Amino acid sequence: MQRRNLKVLIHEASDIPGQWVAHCLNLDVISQGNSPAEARDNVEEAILIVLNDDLANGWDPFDRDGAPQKYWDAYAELERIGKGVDISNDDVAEKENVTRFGVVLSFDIALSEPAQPQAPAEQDRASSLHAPMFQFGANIESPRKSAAG
Amino acid sequence: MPARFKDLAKALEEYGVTLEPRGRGKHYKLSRDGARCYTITAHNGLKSEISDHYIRGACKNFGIEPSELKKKL
Repeated sequence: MQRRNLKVLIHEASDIPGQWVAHCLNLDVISQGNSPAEARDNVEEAILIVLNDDLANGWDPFDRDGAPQKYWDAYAELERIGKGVDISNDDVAEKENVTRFGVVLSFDIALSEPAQPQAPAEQDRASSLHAPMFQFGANIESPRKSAAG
Repeated sequence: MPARFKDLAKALEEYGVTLEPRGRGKHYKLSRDGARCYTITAHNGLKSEISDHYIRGACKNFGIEPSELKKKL
């Protein structure tokens, strides 16, 4: 069993008011939510679906292409200037005036076991540790807006 | 331009992508022969609006040109 830490960039959806996008940069897996916390929870679920499907088919999920470089750059900027925040509170974005968050989610993954095609759900080989290891945020322009400019 | 879940699902099906509900019901798994799976969120039901940010990721996963997909939305 390996423990892997995956970086997630959470920001407001620039094209849908009130929606937050959560983007796992390592796997280029994306989800959305009605708040930063919901987006984080939803991307965790999406990551688990992808990890378990890859493992069930005998694929290494970390062979997937990661996110485009501009999102890694945005995350790196956030790491550099962000402050610690608790995004479990749905009001945090408004209270803290934060527009972008970084979260590290941890997963235990059975990479080395033989593949079991179409393994049922109870044989999932990836599991989330649930509690984010580290989270931080800042009030900075969204990456999509930056890219458009 | 964002898309409604049901419209995006229909457009993806035209590329041979199949959908099945997974997890706690907030996501559907997208599959196509020979490709790794992807997910689509339905956190607000079939009327969920899906961001362009997501559409880019799904298109990349299945080798679909985003501008071509958007013509079908």
